[in-house]
Amino acid sequence: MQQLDHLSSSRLRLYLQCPQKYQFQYIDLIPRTFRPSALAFGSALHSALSWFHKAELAGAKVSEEQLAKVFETDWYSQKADENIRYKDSDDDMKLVVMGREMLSLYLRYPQRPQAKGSEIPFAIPLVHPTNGKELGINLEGYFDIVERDDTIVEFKTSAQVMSSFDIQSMMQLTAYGYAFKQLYGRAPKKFKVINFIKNKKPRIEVTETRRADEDYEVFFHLVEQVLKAITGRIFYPRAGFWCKECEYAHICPLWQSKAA
Amino acid sequence: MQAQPAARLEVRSASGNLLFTVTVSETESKPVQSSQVRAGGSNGQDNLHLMPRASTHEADGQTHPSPKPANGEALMTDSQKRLLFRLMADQGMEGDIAYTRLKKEFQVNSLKEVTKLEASRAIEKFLEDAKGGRPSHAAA
Repeated sequence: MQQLDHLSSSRLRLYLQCPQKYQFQYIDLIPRTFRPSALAFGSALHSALSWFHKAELAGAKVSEEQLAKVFETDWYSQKADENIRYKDSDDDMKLVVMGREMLSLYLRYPQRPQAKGSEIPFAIPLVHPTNGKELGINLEGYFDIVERDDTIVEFKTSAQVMSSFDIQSMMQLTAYGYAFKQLYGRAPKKFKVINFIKNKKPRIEVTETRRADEDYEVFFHLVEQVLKAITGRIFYPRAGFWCKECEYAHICPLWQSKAA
Repeated sequence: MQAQPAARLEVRSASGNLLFTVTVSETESKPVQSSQVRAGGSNGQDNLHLMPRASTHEADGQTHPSPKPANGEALMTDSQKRLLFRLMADQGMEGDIAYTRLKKEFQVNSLKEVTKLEASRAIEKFLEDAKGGRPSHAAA
């Protein structure tokens, strides 16, 4: 059993989505039997984008072919010794082609971020923004990109366009804004979500949003409650669209009771 | 998270320009004090120090803890695996050829058997071998 050593926005999101899966993944450390292709693809695209921005910041001129090669290498690394489960319409070659197309599109994209840092990790103590109450645990994560004007950029890959409500209620961005404010003593200017949409013809959609001080207080309250639930070992299955691609369905009590 | 740097390696282009700095370290998780908030990055401003990332990284920031074998030793992380494949690619070995070469290097049947420490050592070795060579695609 794993001790709770830190929280991250993905851990919080997972707990809120399905506490049972959180237990399987982060407490019991049960190895997953497969990996959904969408996750592996998103990882490879993320790491290639990060490599690109780091190379650019170091003064290197990156060609489309170089970037495509890094993506293909990262994609292979994702697949090596992993049981990748492809969605009905996906296959290996299709995803390689799509990744190359997305990166090519990104290189030619006029609104590409003006990065001052790429893949910047952070570890900050969780402290209430106004009364200073400490939770005794760190929030960890990393910013995909921080732009020169303090805009936080987050890359996403998804099958569809994200609604403005999705973006506005994205806890991940609030968590990053909270972390940024603690780190630098000022709020980020805004948030930019660069969504790579996996259509037949891939496209990029950029959405901007902001967060207010109250959002950080609500975020802290949410984290405090989730932390209480995790340390109180409250884990229960929660059904939803995510069950279809869940790596732990074969041991999930909810799934098994449905199958019986 | 407290970092104990084991090695810091610089990757330079043939003309001597610094391309990347790679810090290989072991970490021990522990909450930091309010006065010790930290951010890391190899290229940002705002006093961004190098600091180890979460052990693995998945799409949309989803992480999966580094699994531990029976002897308690942490296994190779996703980011270490990715770096190894990039280093192989820099040497002209891609896909299955790189995979076979890495299994041979670690003398394993599956890369899932490789420990974090073994991966760190191999990364150091490959970076040393690559020093003075072609510009690297590898970045942690």
